[in-house]
Amino acid sequence: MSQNQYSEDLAHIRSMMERSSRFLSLSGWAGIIPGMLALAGLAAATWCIRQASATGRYDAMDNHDSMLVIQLGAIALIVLALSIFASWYTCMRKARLEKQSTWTPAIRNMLLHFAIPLMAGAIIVGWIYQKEQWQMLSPVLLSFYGLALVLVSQFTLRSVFWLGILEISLSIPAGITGWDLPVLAIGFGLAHIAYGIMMFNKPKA
Amino acid sequence: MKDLIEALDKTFDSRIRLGIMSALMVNDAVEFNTLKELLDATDGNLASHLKGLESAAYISVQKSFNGRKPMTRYKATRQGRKAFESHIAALEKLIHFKP
Repeated sequence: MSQNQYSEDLAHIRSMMERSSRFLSLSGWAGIIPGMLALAGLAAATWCIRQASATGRYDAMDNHDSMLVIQLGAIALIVLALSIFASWYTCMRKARLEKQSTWTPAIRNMLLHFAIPLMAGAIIVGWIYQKEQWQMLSPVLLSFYGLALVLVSQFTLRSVFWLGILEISLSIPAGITGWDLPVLAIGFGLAHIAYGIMMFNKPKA
Repeated sequence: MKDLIEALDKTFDSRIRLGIMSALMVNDAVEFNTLKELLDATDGNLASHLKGLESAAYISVQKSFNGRKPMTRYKATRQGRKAFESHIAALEKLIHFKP
């Protein structure tokens, strides 16, 4: 055996370790489509809020305005469901095209570690609703989503870690009165679209 | 150089075996079908390499049922992890070896 073959052996080992523990077939569309859905959802939400209140701010609303709460909740759930579906579908399609397995320990780990911080966030959102602390909503959404991304980056592209850090940092300006919706548009909309475009430019990050 | 080559573990003398051990080093337990897809190997070929690693006591086998479907999961033993680590170390030394 030549020295060349030994380094090929090592490269093979490294790639098998990587492929068996990380899901690398992230599609750029999994960032772009949810990003656009988020922008559309936020535009719809802004319109609903303008209709319902003079201030145009949802943090001033109370639960007596139940129609608005239901409208915004429905928009959020529709955007969430469509985003999850679009990401899942585009990633699985990419995995199949790359002849990668679509149900590996890496994918199971990824889903589990993604779901746990989001569930924790959902509990907090429940209390925000209960206590009518609407000004807390944007920072909580961004920071818990950021935590989910940081955690899940162990099982997929490492660059997801930095997207997570960005989302967590955005929860700082998101707490400023009147900044919540624009910052949500940056965090959930523009950041996802930018990340998706980046993924098309260098597929093997 | 000769000593270095002798430090290589003959049990790992195949790409499939290297692949199996690599996957088992970074995952707790891996199922037969997952390994098959990951390595793009045939049933018979993969099974015989798994047997080889099993008889060297480098991996352990767990058979169970998922509903009615039989499931075979493999784990790296402590001995197997040690052997694989020193095999990797030997490979690295060989690459950096200058006569």
